[in-house]
Order: sequence, then C-alpha cells, then structure tokens
Amino acid sequence: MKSITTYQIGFAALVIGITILFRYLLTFFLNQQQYVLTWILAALYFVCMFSTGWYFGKKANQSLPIASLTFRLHLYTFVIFSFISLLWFKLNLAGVHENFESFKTGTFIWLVILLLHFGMYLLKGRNTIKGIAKTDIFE
Amino acid sequence: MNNLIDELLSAWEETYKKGQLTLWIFLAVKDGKKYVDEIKLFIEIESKHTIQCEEQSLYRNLRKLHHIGAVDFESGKGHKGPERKYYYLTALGKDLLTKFVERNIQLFFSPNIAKLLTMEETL
Repeated sequence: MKSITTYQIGFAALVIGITILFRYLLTFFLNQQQYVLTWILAALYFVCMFSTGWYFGKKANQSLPIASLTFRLHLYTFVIFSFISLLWFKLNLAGVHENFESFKTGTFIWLVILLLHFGMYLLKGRNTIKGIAKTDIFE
Repeated sequence: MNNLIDELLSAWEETYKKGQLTLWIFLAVKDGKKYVDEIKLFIEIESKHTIQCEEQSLYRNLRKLHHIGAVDFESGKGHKGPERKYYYLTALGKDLLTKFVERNIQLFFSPNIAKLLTMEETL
C-alpha cells in the first residue's frame, strides 16, 4: 500500500520500543511493590505515546494528508500494545501482581474505543477521494 | 488614489492566486516531463513571477496528485547529482485538466468576455 509511509513505519517502530520498555519497567516496579512509580510510569507512557503520535502524525500529514491517518496510528498502537502484552504474559515475563484478567478487560474497553474511532473515520471517509479529503486535494 | 489601487489590487490578487497552484502544476507537466526544480521554474517564468511557490509546497502537491493518479513519474538522471523524479500527466490527469479548462478557463475566451477583458475597451 503506497499510503503506508515511512512516517507510519517510524511511528510503529518507536511504539514497539517504548512499549517493550514500558512493560519491562511495569513488571519491575510491580515486583518491587513501588505502586507510586507504577502510576508515574503509566502517565509517562501515555505522554510518550501521545507525543510520538503527535510528532509522526503531523509529519505524515504534511507528507500526504490521508483521512485515515489518526485511526491508523491508533490501530498500530492498539495492535502493538496488545500483542506485546499478550506475549509478556505467555512468556511468563509478567510479575506476580500482574493480572491477565485485568489485561483482557482493559483490551476489551480499548477495542470498543477503537471501533468508535473507526466509525468516526468511516463517517469522515465519505468526503474523501482515494483517502484524501476533497478539500485537501487541490491547492 | 494610486496607493489605494495598489493595496486593493494586492488584496484581490492574494485571494485570486489561492487555488491556482494546481492548474500551474498541471500546465507545467503538460508542457513535458519535468522534475521539481523545472516545474518551479516553469511556473515562475510563465506566470511572469506572479506565482511564487516553495519547493516543499510543490512536493506536497505532487505527492497528492500522484496519490490520486493524476500524475506519475519516472526516475531519470539530473544534470548533476542523484536521480530525479520526472513528473508527467497520466490519462486521468489529462482528462481532468481538459475538463477543468473547458469549464473554467475557456469561458474567458468567449467573444463577449474576451471583448470585456480587452484593456482598450475598459480604459
């Protein structure tokens, strides 16, 4: 797909790196029962992901303003986070205080939000030609 | 009085020029396969320097026109340095330009309008 740009690949690569680091530190802090640090880590992870999405989204939009961009970045984040987390549990890397059921519930809630985002994208997509908003094609 | 006309003219032209870049890009690549620097030069010369375009803006526009299938490119050697993308109009691009010109440009050549646009008539 020619609409998968290097910016999107760069975003996905960075998300993989940040998520692995997040999972590692999360397990470490939980094993140490450092719950305050766990919350700080979660907040930092959110800020990092948001900033990464903002930076790459802006760059990708300047390169080619496809309407599905924000949804794609959301989808990549969801898939990468869920896959790494699942692997974390399956490989027994998760700490004793990490609960697989909580992970499943969180993933389900996130999936519902992702589907809502997809619905918004579909609505937006009605005013596009080949994925670019009609008002953005010509300058 | 002259200052007022200059100011009004400048304001009108600023609005008028918005949206013209696509047409100039189409004309540039219709004239023959060109890389970005040549397209920029064509636009500036042929518009008598009334249209100024940034290279970044041209790249962005060409990426979009390529995405929708109006232009395509082939790689070729530049005069110096690395390979360049030489852009040209696709069949879709040619059709699009023809229809746009028919509907929006050729009306200025109708006898009535052409007569009104003649400077001697208006002065």
